[in-house]
Amino acid sequence: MTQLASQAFAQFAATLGFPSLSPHKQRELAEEIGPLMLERFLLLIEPKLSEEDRESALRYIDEEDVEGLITFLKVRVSDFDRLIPQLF
Amino acid sequence: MTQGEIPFAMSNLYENIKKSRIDIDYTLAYLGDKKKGEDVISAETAASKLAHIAAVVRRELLTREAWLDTAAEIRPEAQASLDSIDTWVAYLKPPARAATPEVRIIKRELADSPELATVTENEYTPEENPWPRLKKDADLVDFGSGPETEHDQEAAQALAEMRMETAHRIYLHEELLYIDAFTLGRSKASNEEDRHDREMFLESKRTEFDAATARYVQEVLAVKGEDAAVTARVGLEKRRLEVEKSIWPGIFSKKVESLPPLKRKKLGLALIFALSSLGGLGTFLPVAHFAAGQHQRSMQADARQNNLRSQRPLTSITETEVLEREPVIGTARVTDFLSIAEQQNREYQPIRRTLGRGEPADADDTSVQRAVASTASPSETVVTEELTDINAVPEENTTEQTAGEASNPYDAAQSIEAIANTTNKGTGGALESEAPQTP
Repeated sequence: MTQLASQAFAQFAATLGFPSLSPHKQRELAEEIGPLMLERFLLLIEPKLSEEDRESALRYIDEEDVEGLITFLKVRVSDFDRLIPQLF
Repeated sequence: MTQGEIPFAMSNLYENIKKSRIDIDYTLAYLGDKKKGEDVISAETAASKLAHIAAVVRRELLTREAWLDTAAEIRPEAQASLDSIDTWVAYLKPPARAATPEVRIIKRELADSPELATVTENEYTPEENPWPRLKKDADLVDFGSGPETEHDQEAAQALAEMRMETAHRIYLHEELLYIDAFTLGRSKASNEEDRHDREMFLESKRTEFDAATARYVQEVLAVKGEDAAVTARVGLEKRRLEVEKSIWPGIFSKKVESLPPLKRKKLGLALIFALSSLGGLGTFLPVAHFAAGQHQRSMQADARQNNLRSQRPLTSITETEVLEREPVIGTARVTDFLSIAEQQNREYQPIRRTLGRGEPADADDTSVQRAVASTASPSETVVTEELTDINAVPEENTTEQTAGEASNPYDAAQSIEAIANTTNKGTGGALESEAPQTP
């Protein structure tokens, strides 16, 4: 696992209230909650998008390009930054 | 809704109401007396189940509001059903719940201990203390000043369990309110102002629900340990998603649901990596640190916290202080931090240089790329060890992968790393100077 991936797992676990979780558990937490959080993230975003933008976002999901999806949504959703804290 | 759809929708509503009555009978049948050896479910579970049924019926009513007036005969029946559910939920939720058998069992455990003679049934009567808070519970137990005894440990354990029970009750209570707010928030608003009000209401309930969730998980962590706490957190997250989807299933959610498990896992991890790279996770770290530290230090911290609070305004606290002395921030939540950050750019700028907050969003906005670049300095060493544990990722559905598909869930991290390094070697960007430099 890369250093950035380890950091991301550790940050994620800490953000959820587990700052001293073992690396193994950090990863397990990310693997379990990541997909659920993605769905919740999309549930939050969806009402704020036009029909056309939804189609574009679906294409990003099809292509598994989450980075591209976030960059796209950040531009398209004016209060994108406000939505992120609602995931945690 | 067309004329042809109305009979179908109406029969659907009838079915749901009928089912809700069966569910109520079924749920209440399991409320019994544990001491008599009857099969029971807890009052909280019953309240939660009934609230969910009520949410389903309410959704049916809301989505059919436009034509329901013409079907006058169904409204009284639906309303009667809802009233019945609401009555039961009101009866079962926390204040009334304090007198149910399970709670008495915990009280007796405490009262039976000779060292805890101060704890009596009377002091715990629901009338006096219908909504016990941690501080009140702690006040009732006198650990004394002598050396710690076995009884002290037992009492501490019983107390911790009671705190967990209380946190669970609060969680369930907040969940009910959140479900109602979510149902309302996702229903059709008559005008823009109404829509805005509903969104604000939902956001406030969501914040309270999130805080109750975090606190309950911390109590589980303290009482049952790491594994149970992680399992609890995952369970709560699943339950929440299920409830939200049952009220308002979006097309994105359906899309993600239709993906094979491995792909879902990869996308979920990619989201975490992306938020991490953009600083979205780090932003909330101080709050998480506080939440984690809260339980272990709660009793001692209460006094110190109050003392510090009285001496200094919350807005004067620096990031370093937050990390070193978490209790200072008291019951601050994510939103508190964000509002403080909005007011005080100077102190929170390093941790909120995320996602280009406040910058205008346009098609040419390169703040995301610059934010990515800012997260990695040129000197950052990339660990090049083999990704040996990638093989440990479950191989389920591997046959569903296409030829062009990445073979492990950590590709996202690698690509983020690559972007970060490449971009950073190039122009850097205005935010670069704000980024913490890796030693």
